[in-house]
Amino acid sequence: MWYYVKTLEYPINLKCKDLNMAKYLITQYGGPDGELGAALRYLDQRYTMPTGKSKALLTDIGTEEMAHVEMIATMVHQLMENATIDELKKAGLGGHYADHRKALFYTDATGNPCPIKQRHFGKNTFNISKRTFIRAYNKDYIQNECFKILFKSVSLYKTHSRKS
Amino acid sequence: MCPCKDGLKNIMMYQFCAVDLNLYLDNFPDDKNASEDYSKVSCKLTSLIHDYEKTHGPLTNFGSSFIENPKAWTDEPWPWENY
Repeated sequence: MWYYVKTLEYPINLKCKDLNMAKYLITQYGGPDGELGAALRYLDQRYTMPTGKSKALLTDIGTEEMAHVEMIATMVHQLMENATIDELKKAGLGGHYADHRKALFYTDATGNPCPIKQRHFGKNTFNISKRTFIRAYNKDYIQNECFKILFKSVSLYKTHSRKS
Repeated sequence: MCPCKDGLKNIMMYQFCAVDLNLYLDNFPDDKNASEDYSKVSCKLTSLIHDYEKTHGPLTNFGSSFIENPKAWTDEPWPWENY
């Protein structure tokens, strides 16, 4: 169970309208590496953790991430709150307005809805910015993953340099 | 929400501190300094929240605040609003 606390984790009070910033910032809200994705991944992963410590840590970090979600939402909301429809259109947020008016919505910077799913490695792309591929805190497992990524980087690099 | 007055900013400072100490203690449960700090911070935080809630209504609900004031819950400013 969760409780809401009626404070932000850190105070936010943006007076300036900045639609371009809002458009980019929204990816930190609902984009592939955004706060919502992080929160949900932590909370997904806690169930199958091998130790009480890791279950506790993922529960607490996942919960804290939800406070980050709220801070980013507050920033985006305040940045576009006083914008006119024309200004939104000019900033490339016309589509957002048509779909959601000025409401928040979990999207990336180009308006794609948040893909709430586990990351897995596609054929040519991978992501090392979040260690969500690590299924358990096991030294050998982590080491193997690191080697795999290293080999993949090398082979991608080779393919890339052959092309160019 | 105006954290600059009414002691809310003070509450948020202690809250922030408590969150980080808690996460640290998840990792290092045997750290004596951190656990002493955590006791102090959470004690101070609880008393600050209690005082604040008496005049401004609850900061949390569903039975986890001692103060019940449904009108203040809806009428007091929300955290994402400009001040």
